Amino acid sequence: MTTPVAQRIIRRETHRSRSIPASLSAVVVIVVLVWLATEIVLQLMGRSPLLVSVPSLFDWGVQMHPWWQMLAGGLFAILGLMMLIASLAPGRRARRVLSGDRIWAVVSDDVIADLLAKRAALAGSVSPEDVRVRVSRRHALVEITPALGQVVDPEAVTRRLDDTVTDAHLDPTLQVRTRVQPARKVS
Amino acid sequence: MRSTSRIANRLWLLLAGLLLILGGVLLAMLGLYPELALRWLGEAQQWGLGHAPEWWYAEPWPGASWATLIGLALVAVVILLLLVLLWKQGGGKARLVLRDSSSVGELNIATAVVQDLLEDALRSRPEVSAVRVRAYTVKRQEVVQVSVGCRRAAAPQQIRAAVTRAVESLDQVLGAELPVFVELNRG
Repeated sequence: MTTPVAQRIIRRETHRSRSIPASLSAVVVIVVLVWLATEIVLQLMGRSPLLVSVPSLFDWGVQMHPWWQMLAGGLFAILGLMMLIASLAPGRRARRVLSGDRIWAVVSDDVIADLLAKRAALAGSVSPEDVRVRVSRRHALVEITPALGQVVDPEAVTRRLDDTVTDAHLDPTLQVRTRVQPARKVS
Repeated sequence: MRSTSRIANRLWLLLAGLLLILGGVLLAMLGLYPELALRWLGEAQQWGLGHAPEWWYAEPWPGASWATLIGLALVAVVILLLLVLLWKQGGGKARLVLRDSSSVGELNIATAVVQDLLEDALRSRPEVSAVRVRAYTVKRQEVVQVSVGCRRAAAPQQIRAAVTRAVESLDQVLGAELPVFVELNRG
């Protein structure tokens, strides 16, 4: 499991490529730069600008109403911050490794959540609609809202789900927490 | 699994994000504290003018200084680099999962062979909704990617085991072990 090819595949399949933000921003910047270059060349040739010449664009930016400057500047800064975060954040995808022999496998957290929800419903003898599961990186939070008059033991459910998680050989593994909500009113 | 250059995506997003934040903050400053922002702009311009070599102002063509031409060339280089970045997104797909010319004759195995085999192996499982096989080249090696769609409450290790068994039977037929990567998604 630790050959260079395996490491590369697992790394790539559990992290985002940032292809979409990088491509989108690259296309926008290319369009803007092509336009700017065209305006500069037109100005050098003494022709009239397509939209606005570069010096008057600069003047327009400086003379714009202060509110617009703050609004546009704020938007640019927020967009830039989002790109900075996209660049530096780990970019983990919601999937984890299914350990085992011969092949490499990852499983989406959605699939794990579905499985835990079904097992929790069985263990707690409640209907599947009464169970909600949220899976984060290291924890699975199971919320059970039993029908009126029904008693659910959260410990028993947790024990059952712990077994399910252990059997799945997940990496990183999940710690299960079960919460039983007060019974909903029958309407 | 694709051969997208992720470090390039990260670097581009980092650089573009920082520049956008800088521009945005400057524009917002123009609205908030116009005198201060204009003084900064003026000082930056003075600094630039003071440090540019003499020949930058020479005009090889009337009206076009070297500074303008260098600027245009830089814009062209940036556009080119961004086009390369766009070109590098995705890619790395392979048509064959195995190409072997070591024995007598040549052996080629197409992805469709593996697709049929795995579909047969997983057909009996009601919790599997779809199987899709693709091949990629990772570090000059063909890798088989199997995407399995899982219906509600599929047990991941059981599906993994079924895929492993099918792959092992393929190993026996081929006399070689293909690198296989499996992803289990909700589907």
